[in-house]
Amino acid sequence: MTKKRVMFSPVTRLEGLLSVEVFLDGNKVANANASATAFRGFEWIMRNRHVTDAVYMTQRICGICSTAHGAVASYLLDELYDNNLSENAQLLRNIMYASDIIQNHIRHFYLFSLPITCACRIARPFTGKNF
Amino acid sequence: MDKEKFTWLCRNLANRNDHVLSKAILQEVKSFQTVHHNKKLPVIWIETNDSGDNNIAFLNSTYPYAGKVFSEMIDLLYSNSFMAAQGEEALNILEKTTGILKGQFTLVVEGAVPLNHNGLYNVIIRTANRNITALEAVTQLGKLAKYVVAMGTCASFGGVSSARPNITGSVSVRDVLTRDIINISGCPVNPDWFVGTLAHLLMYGPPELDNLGRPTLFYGFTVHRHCQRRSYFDKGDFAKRLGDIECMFSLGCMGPRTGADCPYRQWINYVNWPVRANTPCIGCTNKDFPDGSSPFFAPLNEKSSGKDMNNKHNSPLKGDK
Repeated sequence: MTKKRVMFSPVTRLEGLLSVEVFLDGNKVANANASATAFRGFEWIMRNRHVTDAVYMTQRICGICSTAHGAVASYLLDELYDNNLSENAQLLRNIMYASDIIQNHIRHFYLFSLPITCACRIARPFTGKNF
Repeated sequence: MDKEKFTWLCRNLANRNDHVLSKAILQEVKSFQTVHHNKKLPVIWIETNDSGDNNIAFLNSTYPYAGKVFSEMIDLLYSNSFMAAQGEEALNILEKTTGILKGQFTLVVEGAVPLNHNGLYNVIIRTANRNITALEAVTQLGKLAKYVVAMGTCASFGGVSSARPNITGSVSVRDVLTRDIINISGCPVNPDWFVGTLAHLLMYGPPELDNLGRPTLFYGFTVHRHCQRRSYFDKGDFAKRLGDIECMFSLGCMGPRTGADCPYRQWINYVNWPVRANTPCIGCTNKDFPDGSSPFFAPLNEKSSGKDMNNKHNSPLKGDK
């Protein structure tokens, strides 16, 4: 039986770009490749910068979970500088991080996951008109 | 309402807390649409080398709400983030709509365009036999579009995507296309800047631009000019550490050379903005962001002077170990 190649691209409603390539052997998936096709080289961009820049720079990695990147960078800076964080400051950070997670879930469910279950698959977004 | 009055309204009602401006403008847009048979702005929204922060910031649009923008103001034909269709269907929609609406649609590019290795660092769609790179998509669609809007600092000036050492060779949309481009810089953009520019395109055509190609309506004045801590600056009272109430010029604030209306427009549903939240402006709307702003906490005269500087600064942060 010959292998059939299915290219699924673009995968929409997610942050960044994604393509999935599936090889079918009859009715079974024989192989699958997912490729995230955007590269900016943040590992290189972060080099040779002042360490405190990390809090703001790493937030630019991802627009959806920027707070997570910023929070981790600030935790690392605390260790590096031996900071004594007051309890309130820690609570504030936790609240910020928690709100980030909450808004992520809301957006992901209603905006990014829900359209696939609706009948608007081939409709243009939000207008209901077809070409 | 004519364009001059509209601009006057935007400038003078912007810092009122009771949303007078939004109410005035929404009514205006509505009456415009009634007269013009519910005309909408056809938009093709391409995402290239960026972090997706601009479309997330755009979702924060409240006057009008993002849903209202989608359903009443723009006709979104293609968007990697918002469209329901996916896979081949999405590709078909892109191909068909660019053909049918040639010369009519507005192209929104969100992100820088990598040039190295023929642009292979950013592939927006893979078909069965080839890769459609961001470079190809932007150049092809840019020729067919009526207006091109570069959304975010990456698309406008290269931004973080082209920060040194820039191994992907990312450049701004303006470096790829030889035509007029409306830059809406900001990392991310304030939803009002983006929605406001789209509204202007819909009702009055291209807005008045400054020397960097940005609408003067939003970028005309520096952050410094309207900053709440301006009086501290004028008296020479400077903050010694983050959290102090004084002017943060001493802690690396980029306000004096950053054009934006953050101090009175504010962010997250008009609640707050960086300086009021005790952190200096990092100049995200600037042409040389982020390299010209870094180190972020070093005063202006100690910052590296832009993208040509390579590894020359050595930690001028005060209180550094």
